[in-house]
Amino acid sequence: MNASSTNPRFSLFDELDRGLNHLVKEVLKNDGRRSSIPALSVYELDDRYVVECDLPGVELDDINLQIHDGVLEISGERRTATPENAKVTVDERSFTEFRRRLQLSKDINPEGVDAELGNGVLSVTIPKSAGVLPRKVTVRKVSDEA
Amino acid sequence: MHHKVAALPVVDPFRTARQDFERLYGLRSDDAMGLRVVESEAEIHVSLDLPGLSEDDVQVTVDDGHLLIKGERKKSVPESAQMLFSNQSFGEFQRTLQFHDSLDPESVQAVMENGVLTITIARRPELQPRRINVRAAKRPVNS
Repeated sequence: MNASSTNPRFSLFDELDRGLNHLVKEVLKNDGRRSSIPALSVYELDDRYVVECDLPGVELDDINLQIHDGVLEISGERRTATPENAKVTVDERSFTEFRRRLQLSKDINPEGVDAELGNGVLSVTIPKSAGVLPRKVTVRKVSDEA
Repeated sequence: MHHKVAALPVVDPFRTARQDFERLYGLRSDDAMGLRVVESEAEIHVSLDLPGLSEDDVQVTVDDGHLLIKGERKKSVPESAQMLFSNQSFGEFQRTLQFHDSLDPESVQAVMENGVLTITIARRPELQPRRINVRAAKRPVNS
């Protein structure tokens, strides 16, 4: 399902690859601390785009979301408390710090962006700007006034 | 005191082949689940990252020294949506852990919070270190 759901149409996020390359460099520099790019999905509906990002175990207050120069950036950290006298014997968690940047297309309305966190998934809704939405024109009856 | 690891992922000799298969059919790969095991003297905590799942989507079974965790992440994308990019995992998954005899299978508890499943298993009480109170010796009372 992963591979088949990836659509080659990258008009919205055409700089994603550039962003990924940038991140790879960052991860390499970041020796010692595990930093990674969380999994996400991006899809388009008639009036909005939706970005869903997997952030299991991340608290709301530890997520930074910003839009700057047409780039949506999701960053933050996952804090894990290990009780005293306890020992971590297996740890396959893929990230502690995370950062993901997406280039947005120009047809969006950054003012209307909304985000919510549920079951460890951050869902960001980005409305399209009014100019690109199909506009329904109401047909009026010719008035009888002469 | 307990330096022996009490819970371990079951080693699967066909792991690579299985992961390829899982990827091919869009199943969730084990490695994507962020397993973490934390052990203390009294109990152990096993956590799995299961973003997008609620407590109703997960099943935990204890059977013959094995802990079986399975579930399904359903797609949240509306039918009318056009997918532009996705590397999230959806579908069914299963993960098995083997646990040591020192753990009490009756004590297993599971909590789902913020997309993370945490399973707590207590060590058998008889195997836990027991602190013995040191009393003062009774002295003959001088009268």
